[in-house]
Amino acid sequence: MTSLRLALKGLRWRAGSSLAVLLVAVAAVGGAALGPMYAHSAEESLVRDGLAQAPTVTTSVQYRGGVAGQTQFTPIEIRDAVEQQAADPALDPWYLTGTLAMSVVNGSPATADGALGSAQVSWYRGQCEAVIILAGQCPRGPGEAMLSARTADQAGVGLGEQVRLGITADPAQDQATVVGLYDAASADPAVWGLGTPQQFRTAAIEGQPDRLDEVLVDEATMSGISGDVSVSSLRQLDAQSVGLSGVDAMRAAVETATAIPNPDDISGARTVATSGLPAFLDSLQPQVDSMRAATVAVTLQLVLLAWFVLFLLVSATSEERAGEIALAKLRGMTPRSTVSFGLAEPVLLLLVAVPIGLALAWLADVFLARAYLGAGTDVAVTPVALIAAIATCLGGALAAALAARGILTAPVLEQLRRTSGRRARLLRSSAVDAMAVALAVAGIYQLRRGSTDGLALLAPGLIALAAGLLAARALPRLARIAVSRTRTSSSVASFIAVRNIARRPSGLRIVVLLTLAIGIAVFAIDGWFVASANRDQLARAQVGSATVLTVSTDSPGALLAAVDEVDPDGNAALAAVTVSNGDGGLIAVDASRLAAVSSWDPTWAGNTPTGIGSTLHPPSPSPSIAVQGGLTADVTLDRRSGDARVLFAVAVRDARGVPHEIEAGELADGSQRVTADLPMCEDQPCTLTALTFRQPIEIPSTAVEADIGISAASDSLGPVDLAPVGAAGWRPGASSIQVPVDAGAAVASATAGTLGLQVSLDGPADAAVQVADHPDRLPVVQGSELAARPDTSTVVSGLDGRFVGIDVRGEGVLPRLLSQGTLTDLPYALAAMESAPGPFTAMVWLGASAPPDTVADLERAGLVVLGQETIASRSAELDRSSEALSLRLFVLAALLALALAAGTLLASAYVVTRRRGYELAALRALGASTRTLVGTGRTEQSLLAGTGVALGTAAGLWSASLAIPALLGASAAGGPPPWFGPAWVPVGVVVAGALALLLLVADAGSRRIARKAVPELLRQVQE
Amino acid sequence: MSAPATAKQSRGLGVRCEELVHIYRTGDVDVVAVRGVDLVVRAGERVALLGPSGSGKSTLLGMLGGLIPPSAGRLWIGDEETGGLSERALLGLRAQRIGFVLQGAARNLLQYGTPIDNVRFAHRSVRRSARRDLMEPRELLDVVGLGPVADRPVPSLAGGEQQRVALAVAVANGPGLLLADEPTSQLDTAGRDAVLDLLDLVNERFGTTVIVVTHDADVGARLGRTVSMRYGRVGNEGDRGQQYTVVGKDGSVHLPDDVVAEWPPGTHVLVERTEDGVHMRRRPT
Ligand SMILES: Nc1ncnc2c1ncn2[C@@H]1O[C@H](COP(=O)(O)OP(=O)(O)O)[C@@H](O)[C@H]1O
Ligand SMILES: [Mg+2]
Repeated sequence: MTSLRLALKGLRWRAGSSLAVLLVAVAAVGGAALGPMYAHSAEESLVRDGLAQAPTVTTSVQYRGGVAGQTQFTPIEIRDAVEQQAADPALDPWYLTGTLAMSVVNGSPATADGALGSAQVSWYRGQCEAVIILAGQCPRGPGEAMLSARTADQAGVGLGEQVRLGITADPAQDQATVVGLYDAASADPAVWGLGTPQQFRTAAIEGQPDRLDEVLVDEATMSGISGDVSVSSLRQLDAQSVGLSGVDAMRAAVETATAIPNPDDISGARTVATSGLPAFLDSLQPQVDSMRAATVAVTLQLVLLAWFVLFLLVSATSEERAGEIALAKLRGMTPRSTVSFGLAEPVLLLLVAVPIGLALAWLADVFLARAYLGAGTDVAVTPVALIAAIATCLGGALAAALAARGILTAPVLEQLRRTSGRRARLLRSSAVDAMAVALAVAGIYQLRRGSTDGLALLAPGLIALAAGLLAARALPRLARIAVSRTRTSSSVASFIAVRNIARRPSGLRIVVLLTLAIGIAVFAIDGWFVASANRDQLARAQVGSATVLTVSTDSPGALLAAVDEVDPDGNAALAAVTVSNGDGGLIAVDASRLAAVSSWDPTWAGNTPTGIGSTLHPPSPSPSIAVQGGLTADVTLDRRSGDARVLFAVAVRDARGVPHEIEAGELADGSQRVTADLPMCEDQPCTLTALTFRQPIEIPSTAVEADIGISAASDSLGPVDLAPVGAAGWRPGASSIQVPVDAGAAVASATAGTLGLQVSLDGPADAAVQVADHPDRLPVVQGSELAARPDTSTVVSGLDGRFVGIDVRGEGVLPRLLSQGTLTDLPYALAAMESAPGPFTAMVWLGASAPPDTVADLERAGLVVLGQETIASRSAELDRSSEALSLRLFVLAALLALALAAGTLLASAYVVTRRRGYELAALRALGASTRTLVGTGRTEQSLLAGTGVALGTAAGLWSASLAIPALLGASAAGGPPPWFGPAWVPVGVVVAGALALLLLVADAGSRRIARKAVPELLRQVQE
Repeated sequence: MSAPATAKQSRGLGVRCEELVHIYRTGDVDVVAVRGVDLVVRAGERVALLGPSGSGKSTLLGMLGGLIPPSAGRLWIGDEETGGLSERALLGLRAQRIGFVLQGAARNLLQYGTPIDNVRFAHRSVRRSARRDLMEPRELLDVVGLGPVADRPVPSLAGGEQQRVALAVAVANGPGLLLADEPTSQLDTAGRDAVLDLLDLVNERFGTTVIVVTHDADVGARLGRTVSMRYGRVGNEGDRGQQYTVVGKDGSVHLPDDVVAEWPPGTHVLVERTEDGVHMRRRPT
């Protein structure tokens, strides 16, 4: 107790250096603890972010049961089985209550007038509250049905009308009255689960029924039928409820819930439960692992640096206390008492530093979590953080012991004479140097091989340390050479400064410390800025433009039209459509607007923003030919050979971009007036795409060759010019890949209003000529990975799911698809369609300068906005990737390292004041001026600081050039070409700032020492 | 000898040196600071080591205190020969049997503590169980007349007070031998007398043998026995006014200072045997 009080008095007596040691110890403990704490938070954030961003289909647990294959059970029994299994209480901590749905997938609703199409007929638990009912009411009993307003509109069915649902053969169960109309877009996903009632789609194949929006019925209707009813339930993950500590339990619960039931157990209705959650968690693991590895690497470096700093400071203060420790020996204390007396003060500081450091680490983690991690991320003092803090504290005590060792063993009287000639044994130890260099070399070797990122983050510390240690060995030698030079020079200051460097180890330690700290800082700053520039670039490529809206629309053509209506000038918005295919997908954009709207970067595919527009959308050979409400023309058939019958058809594309082909009838020899009725072109004009000739199928085919003339074409609005640009406006074939073999058609002449065709038919194949209002082959840019694959250079699966010929005009990174897939022009891709579009995702890209009311305008134009993504939001998401999180920690550690180094420098300038003061006092006694004295200190300190900063900068930049490619390699794969830096500006700012600060400290320190170096000081040492 | 103040207070320790030598090795130069000192100090005696600066007083004192190992010769502290003692045993010796006061009062004291703290600090070298037998710090300081300043910070004390605190700390563990290097050198007469009174007190009350290094002849006179050193050798001895010169191993004798003043180095002297002894006179030129 008394010894504690005495130690406290001692600490107060040396308030300045005590505070310095305490601050360094707090920074060390805090830094060491922050690493694991931040890792914990970042890991949790990664998992929570991942789960929150993952699609419902991945994270949910889905239950399915069906009558098919289990015909011994009624729909009710199956529903009960699904409901019971889905009510699994083990999932309750993380999963919401399940949905419940009973459906017949392939119903075929029909009115007395005929079939309406194919539709899913369903009941959802809670459906009446989950959709907006526009007219009538929700089905309340058997025999009642509710249609979407769109279906009712398309089919012309009103409230109160009778429909057959087409879900069972029994007419009594199949009959329903339409009691309500609902808005399919309003369906609440909490009730609908993965599906949506918006299922309308034009049939992909001509003549097949269209797919209608979902038809809703009452539960009793579904329960009562004997048809093929499937029952499903979905439990959605509540991502907010997941904490890192609960992930394993959640995973176990999901795995149990989705375990395949015993196939021998046939006692009840079978229900299958599935979830993508375990696989998804597995896919997160590499990120979590790399985050952990990085944290260990960063923390290790920080702790090592902190130990080093503690060693420096504690040895400086120990030397200051040499006299006191000598007193303990003079009094005959046992070595143990002397050690405990000698270490009491630093150990006390270290102990105090643990709670303060932990508290500060906790605060910093709270701040980091708030600022950079997902909302609600847990912040906790983890056991690992506690261990790290204690290890740092113990390491500090060890450093103190090392520092005090020499003092404890030195002869009493020598110590009292205060001439500390002790050498820095630790630094002199070649073994330590050799080990550091060996580790650094191993690190460099691993990095060159492109090894793991954990090591990549350890390398800068190792390389800088090795550089610092080597410099510490080389410097005295160089200084010795310089001594002989400066001996003859007139500057006393530089002579003494160089001589001091040559023989004083404490300065060399400063060089090692500075090299290490600056090396780490330069690497971290460079790495951070380079990585964040790359993340921004990736975000721009992944999103496509400042803001991207995902919208719902009938067809790509309608999308194009709506965007055109809202932004006729093409400065703010751009229509884009993606289609998935086996080749990485197809993205079709309104290419002429790319330059104005998108975030296209020339490095992506070697095209300027304007260049890419003209690459994808070159001028077409011919303008489009519009037709409204039926096409009439005078057609002359003039046979050259053969007498087979010839049928004539007209192909058009309607306003929504959907192609149609209308038979115009059989052509008789000679001249005739032919009319093709085009009902789809009544309201809005269509675009003429092709003229087709074929033989009737039932007739055994024979060859025909004929000249066909078409003139005086007209539609409901008046004459139609079929040859606006002459023969070049037409080309053979209905599409770019249809290769005429036996059959063929070609435009032989095209003069004002008259087409002269040469047609040859042999067999069932069509002969056609098409309007050349789009390039024969679709100009595309391919993703570099797709381009690298063989056999991908001639065709691509287009908007209609059919192959279309392509003209590959470049390769590289594509917006949204990155290195996969194909980029093409939307208007041309529409023109190249031969049938109705398949499933697609519609987007509207908005430029950074799009007016704020654009979204509202788009909705007014008929688009339903489903979602929105911005480059900024994507960037923010990427900022929460493991690589960004690790680098952020590294930057933090680097700033701490810089602060530690600066603090140590300042503190040691104060602590060594007294010792150095004697020397300067002696110089002054010999007649040196104050200016010389200040100059000596300043020159020495500046030389040391300059060496440390220069070496550290070189080491940092070099390790960055090695490690950053390895670090970014993995995350940059498949993205825009990565930029490896160096980020000169931020690095320059940090280095210049550090240098300026160090020079300031050097100046202030040497002034202070010179001021204190009065000759009276010498009298105290004498005798 | 008066009764010991504390139960286990050791009796005074005698000191005996035979041919003690110490050589400082600094780089290539050897400095023979003490060259063959023979000296016997009886238990409870008060002795002043007198001599000019650089004559080896401090070095001899350091050897007596076990702080400087003799380069040659033998040394007994009490009945114990120190030559065979380990560093650890020497620490034990200093812990309880030898009190040492370094030159310069401040160097003997923890500057951040009070006199009480410093006495307690000295107590740390004694095992806890044995500490009970020691005089309480406050009592000790009262006894030596420092009671009023016992709780004041050391730096706030006057030079003489600090020197007395240093002495009090040195005797805190009840040593049988007190060694003090120049305890009066930087003090005014009043301070010097107070310190000398304290030394008397310690010697009389505790029976402690006191050896003091000083260059002040008055201090030597006050202590009684004086041992003069010159060039690392014991030259003259005085005891209550009587002056003796000591014959060295090599047959050399140190002449008194006043004689040296008359006979500068290099003077040839004639040594003649007479009936009652030996007679020396200057060789006539
Ligand atoms: N640590 C040392 N290293 C080298 N020489 C020393 C050392 N201490 C003292 N000396 C030398 O030894 C001689 C005796 O010194 P010292 O015992 O201090 O004498 P005194 O105390 O009588 O002044 C002197 O010449 C002195 O210079
Ligand atoms: Mg001396």
